[in-house]
Amino acid sequence: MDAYFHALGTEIKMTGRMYERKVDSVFFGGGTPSFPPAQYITGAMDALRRAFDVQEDAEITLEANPCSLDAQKLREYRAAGINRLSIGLQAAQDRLLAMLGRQHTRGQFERAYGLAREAGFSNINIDVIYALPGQETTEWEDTLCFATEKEPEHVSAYALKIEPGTPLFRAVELGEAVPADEDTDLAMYHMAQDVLEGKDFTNYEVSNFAKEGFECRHNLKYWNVRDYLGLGAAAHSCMDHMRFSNTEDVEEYISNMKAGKLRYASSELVSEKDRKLEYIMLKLRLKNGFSFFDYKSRFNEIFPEAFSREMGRVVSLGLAETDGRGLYPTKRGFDLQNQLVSLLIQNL
Amino acid sequence: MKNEYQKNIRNFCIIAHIDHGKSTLADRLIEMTGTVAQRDIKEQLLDTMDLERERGITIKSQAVRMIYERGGTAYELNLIDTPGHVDFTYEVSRSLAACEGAVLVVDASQGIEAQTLANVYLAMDNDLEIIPVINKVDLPSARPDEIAKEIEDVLGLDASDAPRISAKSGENVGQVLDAIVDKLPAPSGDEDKPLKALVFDSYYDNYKGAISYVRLIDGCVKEGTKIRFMASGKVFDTTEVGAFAPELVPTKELKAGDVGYIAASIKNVADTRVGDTVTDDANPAKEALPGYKKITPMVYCGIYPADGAKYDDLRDALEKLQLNDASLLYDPEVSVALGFGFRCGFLGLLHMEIIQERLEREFDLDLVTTAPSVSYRVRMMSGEEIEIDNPTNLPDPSMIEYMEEPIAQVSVMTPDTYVGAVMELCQEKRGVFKNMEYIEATRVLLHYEIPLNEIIYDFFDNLKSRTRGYASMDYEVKGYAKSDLVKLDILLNGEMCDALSIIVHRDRAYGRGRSIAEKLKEVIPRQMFEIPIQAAIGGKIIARETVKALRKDVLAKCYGGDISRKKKLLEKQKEGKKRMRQVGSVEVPSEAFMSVLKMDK
Repeated sequence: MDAYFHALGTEIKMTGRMYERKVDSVFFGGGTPSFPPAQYITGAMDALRRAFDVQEDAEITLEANPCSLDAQKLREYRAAGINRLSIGLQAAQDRLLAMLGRQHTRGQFERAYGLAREAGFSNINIDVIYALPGQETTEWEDTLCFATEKEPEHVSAYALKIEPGTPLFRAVELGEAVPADEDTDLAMYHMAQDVLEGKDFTNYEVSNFAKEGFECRHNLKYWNVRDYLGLGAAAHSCMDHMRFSNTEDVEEYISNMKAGKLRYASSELVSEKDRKLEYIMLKLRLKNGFSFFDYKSRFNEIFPEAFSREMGRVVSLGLAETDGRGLYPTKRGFDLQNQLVSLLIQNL
Repeated sequence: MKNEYQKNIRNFCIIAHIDHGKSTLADRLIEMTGTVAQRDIKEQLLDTMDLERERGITIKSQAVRMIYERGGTAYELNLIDTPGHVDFTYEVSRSLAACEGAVLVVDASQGIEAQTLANVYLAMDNDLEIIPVINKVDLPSARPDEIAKEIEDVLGLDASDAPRISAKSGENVGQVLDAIVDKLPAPSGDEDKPLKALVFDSYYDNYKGAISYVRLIDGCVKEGTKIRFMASGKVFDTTEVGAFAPELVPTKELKAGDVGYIAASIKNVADTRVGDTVTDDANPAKEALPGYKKITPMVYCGIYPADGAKYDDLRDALEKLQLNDASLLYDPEVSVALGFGFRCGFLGLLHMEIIQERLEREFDLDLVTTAPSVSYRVRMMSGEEIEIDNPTNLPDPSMIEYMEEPIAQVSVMTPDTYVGAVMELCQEKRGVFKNMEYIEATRVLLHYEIPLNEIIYDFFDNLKSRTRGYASMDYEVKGYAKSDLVKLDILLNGEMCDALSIIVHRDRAYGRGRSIAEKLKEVIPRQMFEIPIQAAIGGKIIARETVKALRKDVLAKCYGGDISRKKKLLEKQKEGKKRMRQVGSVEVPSEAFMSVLKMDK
């Protein structure tokens, strides 16, 4: 643990010298940063402030697991400057949590959430998952109600994707678990939209819902195709049209940093064509889509001219709308986002 | 003495079933006679195309001249390598006709197979002296004594002193060379008679034009000889003659008994057809050599560029392939579903696959191919008779008096335990049983007459799977017979897709319609709307399947680390989309047009 955070500190110091940038958001994520003692997070924040120009009003998020939170830890996070928490509820039924292999229960989540509010966190996201094997629609509705009753500022609702190599994947292969069918998946997605929009959340991104002004500033950077710097093992970055990533091997990461070497496991300079593809693919995950003005400022071409046929097609198929100033996905465009993007980039 | 030189010449070919070691033996012979320097030796020397080496088959005939010393005399051994597949029976027969003898290679554990038989009979028809050789005797499963007995019983050949060899290790291969010298007759032509040379293959050279591979029966030919092809009547001036070493080596002349090549600035391989006779225009032979046949394609399919813009490239590629393969036919055609392409005619299914593969590999083309068809004869009410090789062109049934389809004589060799399975298969394929012979106690040769359109469908795959690969087959088209045939159409989202139409026997139409609809349901990806797939005869729907609409297709999480992966996925999808054909409102993947053929039932 010490060695890892020491390495992280080294990387922060080195990259700080390379990129003299203002930082207005920080996100501790990618796994369970709430497991180690809070001092490590405090240390990392101190290092960041020393190396980068972290803005006064920066959004600083920490991903947290309900069973790793206690009052003391939460106080330390506050002191370190963390001002946004993302807590994984996943499901409000203990039987589904067990199936997902989660350590926490509904009760533990409730306790952790209460402590977070008491500690002064006024910007909290709750993560929930649907389309679980064997999940009843009523259970999903219950999860949504349970989550909204807590009155969080932000909810992320993800459809479960069963990844190869996971226990659930094997269970499906063995016939012990049956993945949700597409109709159920879609019905649950629409249910999430209905319930959350009914409570004044905006479905600002495919899977993300926020009260006004509480959209996640950090995550918006990905979808708005802005630069971001990933730090730590397996972290991905995109800076000045370069995409690069650190090794996933923690030991290798540590030894690289010990040697004072920024060595990337992958890196590519994104071509103009790929940048357009990424732009369309990411921007159309957002309810606000993109404006032709923004597109032109980046690529120096007029989108409706360059993509007139493709645009006509997605609009006529009801996947997107336009007001002449920009292109915006419809609800159906969210349901079928891959199709929407595929159609647009077909001739790119 | 005149013609004396011929007594030191031996012209022979090697007959073997696929995998019985023909090319390996040829390699050893070439190696042992020092014909090719060791450094130039690569596996399967005579199979010059990558495709031949990979598939272990010989597609084009090749020839090589070897010098072998026996008893203080140098002998010239000309090996003519023959294609080893039923599609090329005619080419094989011409290569055999160019020889006095044949080396028959039989695998010491597999024994005689249907194709071996067919080729041995061809050799016997051509009065060839046959030297049986038992190969792969070093394998643990080898049973050379039994195989020798089988050769004697089944083929009536004396196998008592047949060389027992391992072409792979070279064991006893010397005995084969000795036997060729001792047992095969020398040529007995007359160099003073008018020129008579048999064309057994041809090849297109960019500089020299079409080059004829010939066996001289009588007479001689040299640079300057004005030659005439007796079947085509075309006349050319000989620019070069020579031998195969195995590359072309010019010589002063070719005389009776020799195997070699003639170059005569021939622009088109079609002018030097396999089986034709070359003679001296100034002193022509009275009659041509027997056996010339103009070959006609048996199997047809539509070939289209996956990318419509590549039409010209496809035409150029076909043109180039045809330069070397006069049996490949192609005519432009237009399909509503597939756009501009070509209807191509082939000798058989293997020939078709080879051409498709060469187009894709050597010319880097992405193709869309339709299910193969045979050529049907249609008798119109008006009395007119037409040939139909594209199902789309079949006239309205009300205008047709009757139709005829090609019938093949099929022989299947199988272990007796699978006789029932083979008979069942032949029966299903509308086969008519002819007779059955026992080759040995446990092996049977079955003769059937089966419509060719059933054979090109999935007969061979079925035969192999139902007999666990033990059965082998051979077929030859024998003629046409009246048949109750219908056109089966496929409708996608209510629109007919011309490229998917097939002609099928009425009794089998329901089954085929159903299985095609099922197969298409598997291969057509879900789209944003529901797609009904219907099979129809005339206006009547006989089968229906539905591709359900795609309702949710979105990546739930897309954050910093997911972007590169997602982008790659999109690019892959984009490539896949390029291989799709728009049929009305439906996107159909290229494979669909062919996959309807590959049924697993």
